[in-house]
Amino acid sequence: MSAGLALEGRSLGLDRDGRRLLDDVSLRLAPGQLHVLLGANGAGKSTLLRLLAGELRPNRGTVELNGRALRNWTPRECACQRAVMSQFDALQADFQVADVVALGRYPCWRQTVGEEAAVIDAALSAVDAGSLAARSYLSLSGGERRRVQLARSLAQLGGPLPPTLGNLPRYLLLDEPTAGLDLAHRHAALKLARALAAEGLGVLAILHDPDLAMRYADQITLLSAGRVLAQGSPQQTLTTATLAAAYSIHAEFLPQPGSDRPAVIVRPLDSHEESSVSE
Amino acid sequence: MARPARALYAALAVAMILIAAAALASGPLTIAPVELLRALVGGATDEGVAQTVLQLRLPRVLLGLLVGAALAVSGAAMQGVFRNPLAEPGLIGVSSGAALAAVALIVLGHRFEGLMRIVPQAAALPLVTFGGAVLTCALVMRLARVNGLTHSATLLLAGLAINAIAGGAIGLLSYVAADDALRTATYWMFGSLGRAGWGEIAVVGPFLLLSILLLPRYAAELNVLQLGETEAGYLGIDVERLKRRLMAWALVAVGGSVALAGAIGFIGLIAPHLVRLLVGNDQRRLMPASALLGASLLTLADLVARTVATPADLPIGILTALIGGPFFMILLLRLRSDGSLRYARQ
Repeated sequence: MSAGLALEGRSLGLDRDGRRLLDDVSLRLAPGQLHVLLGANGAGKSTLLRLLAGELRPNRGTVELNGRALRNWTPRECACQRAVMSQFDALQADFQVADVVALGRYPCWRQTVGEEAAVIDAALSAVDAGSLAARSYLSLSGGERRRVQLARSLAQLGGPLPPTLGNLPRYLLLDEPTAGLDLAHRHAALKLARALAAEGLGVLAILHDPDLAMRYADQITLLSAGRVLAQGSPQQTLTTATLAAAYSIHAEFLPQPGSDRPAVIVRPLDSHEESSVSE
Repeated sequence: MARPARALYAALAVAMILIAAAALASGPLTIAPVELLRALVGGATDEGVAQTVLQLRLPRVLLGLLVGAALAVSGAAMQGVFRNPLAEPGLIGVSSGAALAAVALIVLGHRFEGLMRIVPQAAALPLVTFGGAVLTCALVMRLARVNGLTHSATLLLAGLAINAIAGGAIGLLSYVAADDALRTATYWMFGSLGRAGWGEIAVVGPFLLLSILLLPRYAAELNVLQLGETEAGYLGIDVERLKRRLMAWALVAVGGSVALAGAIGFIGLIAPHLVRLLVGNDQRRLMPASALLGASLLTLADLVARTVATPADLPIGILTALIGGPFFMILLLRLRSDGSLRYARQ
């Protein structure tokens, strides 16, 4: 793996209908890291993810994927190097679960039938959905569908890259991967994200829970009203002050035995606290 | 997975050949299998038999196979592009838009003699029906798409409106036109395989064949598109280009079919949905199998249409509507219960 390669947005800005959705946002997603994107509703998290994915073009700034401007890769080459799990599930036609996961293999360098099946099996077992392989997708619950979609994104990044791309690092962009999951699967999803990062993937995840972010993230970017409020390690970015500014909540940090990461406990701000934040 | 699909193709192909043979042999003059084979290879003992098989029945059977396959494949393709199980050229009004264009050309064409002199007679009709199909399709897509969502109900309502307008306009045009006007209106609105001969088939047939062969080549992309347009983009597909190409070939199929046989409804709905019951939603198997089944269904329907009330030759669309209408109702009930009638998300 070449050093210094990353998925990197520099000074990104995006305007829509005269509104500034993102302004001067930079984010570097390095291989081997779980980078968590936090912020209140409408702060610009999904917009930033879509810019990094290449779905939207920024009005200002640039996005670089593995040392080359994003638009200089073909869509197919892009799809080999990064997978996206978006927030919504639009699949209406019924497929077997294993076939849905196999759709993720579309852009990939094809191997033998057996190797392809192994990639799909591995993706399904990684999200604890191996038993669902033969089920009909539309018969699944919302949380099960999320896990299958995650497996589909994993399958996209499984197997070798085409020889023309060599051994470039790959990236996984997850828009609210824990939405709709029960408590156990929420932690399982983030443990998986960490494990994938440990294997060398760069993983970006939009989350809503500062406690989960504190527990699992390597890096955090905290957005507020389209700008970066704080960026860096969890302990640096998540403080009583930043969380009050981003979410208008009061956060307390409880040291955890055997861990350098405290638990984050939040409650709504009292009215006198709110007025002090707004000043 | 590959082997059952192959067995299915084989079964469908055999059924198609048997139906085609039955259609060639049946009619006012019943022809024995041996006679039929002789006539086909040009060694018939009886000149009348040869004439009947080669000049009357063979073009009609070929037309049924081609039009049936083209309508079925384009139905499957449209259902995939709209990500909507009810998108069908007849139901969404594209067929009747094409038929209206054909009637307009026939009734009003003489007023544009200058233009008609530039375009060869045989090419004018298919060109005009293709244009009609493209225009109505653009209109339906515009009407049915709200904020990037294709709403099932809106799609069908737009189709309903276009079908009503086109039906009315065809009726009106055939009244202002000459004496056999009524018959012409019925022909275009319900379709018939009895009108086109070898000449028309030679001009339009290759385009139908091309769309039947080319549409299944987009099957893998069409599968990915079912994940959603955004997701398909993330997977490296140029979604707009894919949709343009698929719709272009589907409209070539519909426009060509209407030019040869009028607006024949429901084949594009029945064939893909029956095949779906057997092979599921994978377009790589759905499209080829639909083509084979659509070809069989239309040829069989035509065989019934011309033999059930001999010597009368029923418009084939009456038969497909009688079968397709109830089929459509059952489909509606099923889709209503599993919730897929709600809009398809962008």
